[in-house]
Amino acid sequence: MGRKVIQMADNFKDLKWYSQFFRKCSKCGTCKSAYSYGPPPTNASICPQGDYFKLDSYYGSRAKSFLGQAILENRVDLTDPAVQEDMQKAVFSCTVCGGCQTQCQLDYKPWIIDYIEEMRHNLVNRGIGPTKAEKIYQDKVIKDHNPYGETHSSRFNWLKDVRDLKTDGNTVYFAGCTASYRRTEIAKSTASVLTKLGEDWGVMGENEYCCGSPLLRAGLREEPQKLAEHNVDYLNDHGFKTIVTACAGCYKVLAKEYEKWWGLKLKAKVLHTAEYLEEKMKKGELKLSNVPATVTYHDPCHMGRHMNHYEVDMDGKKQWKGSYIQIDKPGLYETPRNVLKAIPGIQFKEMYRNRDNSYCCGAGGGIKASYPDVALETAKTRIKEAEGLDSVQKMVTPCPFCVTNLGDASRALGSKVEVVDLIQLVDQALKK
Amino acid sequence: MDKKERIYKTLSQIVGDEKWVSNSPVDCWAYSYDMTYKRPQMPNYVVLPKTPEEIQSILRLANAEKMPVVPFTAGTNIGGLCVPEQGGILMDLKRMDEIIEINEEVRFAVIEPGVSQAQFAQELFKRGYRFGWPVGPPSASVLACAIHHGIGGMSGRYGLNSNHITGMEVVRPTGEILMCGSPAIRRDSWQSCMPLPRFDGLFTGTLGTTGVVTKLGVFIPPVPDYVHIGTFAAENLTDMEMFMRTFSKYEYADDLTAISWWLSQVPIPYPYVEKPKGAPEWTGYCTLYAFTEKELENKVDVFNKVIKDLGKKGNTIKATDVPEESKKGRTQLPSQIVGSTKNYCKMGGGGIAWPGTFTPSNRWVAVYNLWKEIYTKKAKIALSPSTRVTMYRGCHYGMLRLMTPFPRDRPEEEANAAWCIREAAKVLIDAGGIPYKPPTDFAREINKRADPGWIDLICDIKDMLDPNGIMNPGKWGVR
Repeated sequence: MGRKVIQMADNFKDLKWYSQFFRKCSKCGTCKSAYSYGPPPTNASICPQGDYFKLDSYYGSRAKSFLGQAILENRVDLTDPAVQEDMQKAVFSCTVCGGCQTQCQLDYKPWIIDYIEEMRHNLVNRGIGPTKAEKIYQDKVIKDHNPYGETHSSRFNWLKDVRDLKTDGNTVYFAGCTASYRRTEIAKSTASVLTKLGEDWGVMGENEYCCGSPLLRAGLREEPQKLAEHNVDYLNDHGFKTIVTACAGCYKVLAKEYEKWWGLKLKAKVLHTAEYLEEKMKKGELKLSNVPATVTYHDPCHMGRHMNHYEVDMDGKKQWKGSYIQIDKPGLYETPRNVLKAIPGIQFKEMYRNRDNSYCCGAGGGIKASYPDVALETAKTRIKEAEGLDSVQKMVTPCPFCVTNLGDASRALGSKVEVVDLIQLVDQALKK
Repeated sequence: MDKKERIYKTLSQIVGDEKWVSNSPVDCWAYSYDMTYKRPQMPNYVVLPKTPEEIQSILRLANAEKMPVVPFTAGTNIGGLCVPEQGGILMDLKRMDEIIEINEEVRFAVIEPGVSQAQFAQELFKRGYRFGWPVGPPSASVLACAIHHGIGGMSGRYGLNSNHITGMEVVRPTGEILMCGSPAIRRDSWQSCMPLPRFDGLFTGTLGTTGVVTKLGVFIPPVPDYVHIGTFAAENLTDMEMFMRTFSKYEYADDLTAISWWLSQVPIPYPYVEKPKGAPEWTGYCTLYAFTEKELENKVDVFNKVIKDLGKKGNTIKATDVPEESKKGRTQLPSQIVGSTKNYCKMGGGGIAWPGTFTPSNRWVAVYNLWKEIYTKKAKIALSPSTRVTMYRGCHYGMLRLMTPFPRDRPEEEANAAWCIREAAKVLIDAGGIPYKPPTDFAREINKRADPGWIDLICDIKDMLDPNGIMNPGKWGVR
C-alpha cells in the first residue's frame, strides 16, 4: 500500500505570523464571559481555565494574547526554569475549547484556536512543553497508536461482542481511541446502529491509528502528520464512500484538519454519526421507538464551535487586510439536537449555556491528563448546570471524551444525571 | 527567607491559598498594560482577595513593607489606571463579585467590585431595572466605572454613574474599614450618601489612590415601557451643539449624543480619510424613554419641534431616518460589539486611547477645530478626528472626547497616536475642559494648570489617608 497523497506545503504558521492577529486584541475582556444583550441580557462564565485559576494570565483569549507577546518578544525570561514552569501551566492548562473565540469581536477571532496551539508548538520547540502527562500519552500514541497505553492489536476487541471483523464496505466506522479502549459501549452502539440500519460497513482493523488529535492539541506537528498520512492513505486506498465517526475529536481532525494542515484530502465523505443519522432521518429511514426520558444536550467543542468556518478578508478586497467578516458556516449544533428530538418520548431541555456559548466539558486540550482537577471541576460545573434544569435524567452528548469526563463529574458529585452518548440513545430507540 | 518569598508567603496566608497569589513574571505580565499606549510596567505580585478583611491585611502588609498597591477589577479603562507605575502588589478584585442586594422597593443595589456590567445587567433586567450602561466591555466593573465618574446611557437625564452612588464601604490605605453615606449610620441602609458629608468624594475620581472601595450602593431606576430613538444630523458642530443645547433644557433625553463622521464609520478609518462631499459632518441620536404613550408622544413632539424651529433660523440640523438595526446600538447596552471596541479600534489594530473629557458645550466647537488641526494637519500620520459629544444634565458638563485607534505592533504609529492624544489633551485643558479617568500624562497637564490650593488639598488628603503613599502611587502626579 503506497501513499497516494502528495504532501502539500506545511500550512502551519509560526507565532510571528499569528502576531498580526493576536496583537489586534484590544484587551477588552469580552472573551471572559458569554454575554448577549438579548433581550433579556444573558451572562455566564465561558472560560474553564479562567474560572478555575482566576488570574488574568489564564482568562480567555485576552490572556493568550498577553502570553504570545511575552513569548515572541522575550518579555519574560524563558530560560529561567521557574518561568518555564509557569508559562507551561498558563499555556497548557487551557482546554482550548474556543469559548473565548466565540465571544471575541475583533480580527483576532478566527485565529484564536490555531494560535493557542501554535503557542504550545512554540513552547514544545523550546523544551517548555508538552506537560509530563502529555509526554507520556504522546509516547504511547507513537508506540501503540493510542494514548491509553493499550496494545494496538486489541483495538477492535470490542467488536468481537458485536460481529466478525470486516474491513470493507461502503462505509467505514472510524472508532477512535476512546471508544475503542475506554468507552466501548459507544463503539458497540455505533456498530449496532449501523447494522440495524442495514449499512454495508466495515472498520479499519489494525490499520486504524489514532487520528492524531491528542498530539495536535498539545502542539506537536510531525508525529500527528505521520498518523494522518497513514489513516488517509488507508482510507483512500480502500474505496470507502463514507467515513463515520462517533467521536467529536476524531471528527474535527478527519473532516477539517488533515486537509487544512497537510493537504491530505480524504476521498470519502466524513460524517459524524449525528450527521449520518440526520441524513437517514431525512430519507425516512430512521424508525425510532419510544425512549421515555427527560434529557439535555451538551455541545462538544470539537463538533460545535471548532467547526465554525470563518470568512476572513485576507487580501483586503471586501474590508481591509486580515479582517474578520463572519462565520459563514456554523458547526454542528442543530444536527444532533434534531436527532435527539426525533426520538419519541424524549423531553428535551436546553441548558442555559448552549451552542456557541456552550461550556466546555473540561477534558479537551490535554487537560484531562495534565490538569485533572481543572477537568473535573469544569465538568462538575456542567453537571450542576444540568441539575438546575427541572427533572433532567440524562445529559446527552455525541463525544466519548465528553461522556468520560462528564460521567466522572456526575459520579464525583453523586448526581442523578446520567451521561450518555447520543448514539447509545439512538441505539436504544432504533427498532431491530 | 528573602523579602520576595516572605511577602509571597504572607499574602498566601492572608488569602488562604497560594492559588490566589502569584509573583510569577508570566502572571504579572498579564497585568502590565492595557488597551492604551501606556508602556508595560509589571507588578511584583498579584493577589486576589475575597473579603474586605483580607484587603485590610494586604494593605497593612503593604504599609509595613512600603510597597505600592494597585486596585484592579477588569483592566478595561482607557487610561492605564491599573498599570502599576512603581510595581508592587496588584490587587485583583474579580473574586469579589457578589450582587449583595437589589432593593426593588426603594430602588438601589449593593454590589462588590468584581460585579461586571454583564452580570449586573442580567440581574437588573430580570427585575425590570436598569443602570447607566456605558459603551464599555460587558466584562468591565460596574463599581469601578461608577467611582471613576464613568458615563452611561442615562447620563443625559440622571448625570454620571457617580451621581448614582448611594453609599460605600471602603478599606482605607492604612487598613481601617469605613462606611460612607447612609450605611455609615445603619449598616444595612444604603439609600443615599446625603444628607451626610460627602465623604464618598474622598474615594471617587481618585483613581484608586485613596482606598479600596469594597461595596457600592447605586440607584437603579426602572426600565420604562416606551422608547423612541430620535436621530438627527447637522453639517457642522456649531449647528449640532445649538440643537443639543436647546433640546437638553427639557431633560427629556436619557442620552443625547452626537458623533463626527469619522466616528460614525464602523470601524473608525485608520489612518485618516477625507469625509465624502455631501455627507453631514455630524450625526446624533437621543434616547427618549417614557412610561406612557402620551408621555412619549410629548417628548417626540418636542424633539421634532426643536429641530423644526432651529431649521427656520437657518440651522442645518435635520431629523434623519436610520435603520432600526443601527438604532439598537444606542439602547442595547452593555454590548459585546460596542464594548469590545470593535467599532473603534478594529481597523487601527488593537490599541485605543483618547482625550475623554468633561467640557461645557459652548467650548466644543473651538476645541474640536483645534483637534482637527492636530489630527489631520500636524500629525506625522494623519488620524481621524473621531469625536463624540454628549450632554449631561443639561449642557454644563457635557462630554467631549476623541476616540483614537492605533496599531499595537507598529511603535512609530503608536507614538504618533500618543502624541496626537497628548496634544489634544493640552488644548482641551487650556480651553477649560477636564479629562476624566486621566492617564498620568494628562494628570501632569492638569496639575500644571491647577489652582495651588487645590493641589495642596489633594496632597494633604493623600498624606492623611495614605501616609506611606502606597495606593496606586503616581497616578495623580501629586505624590
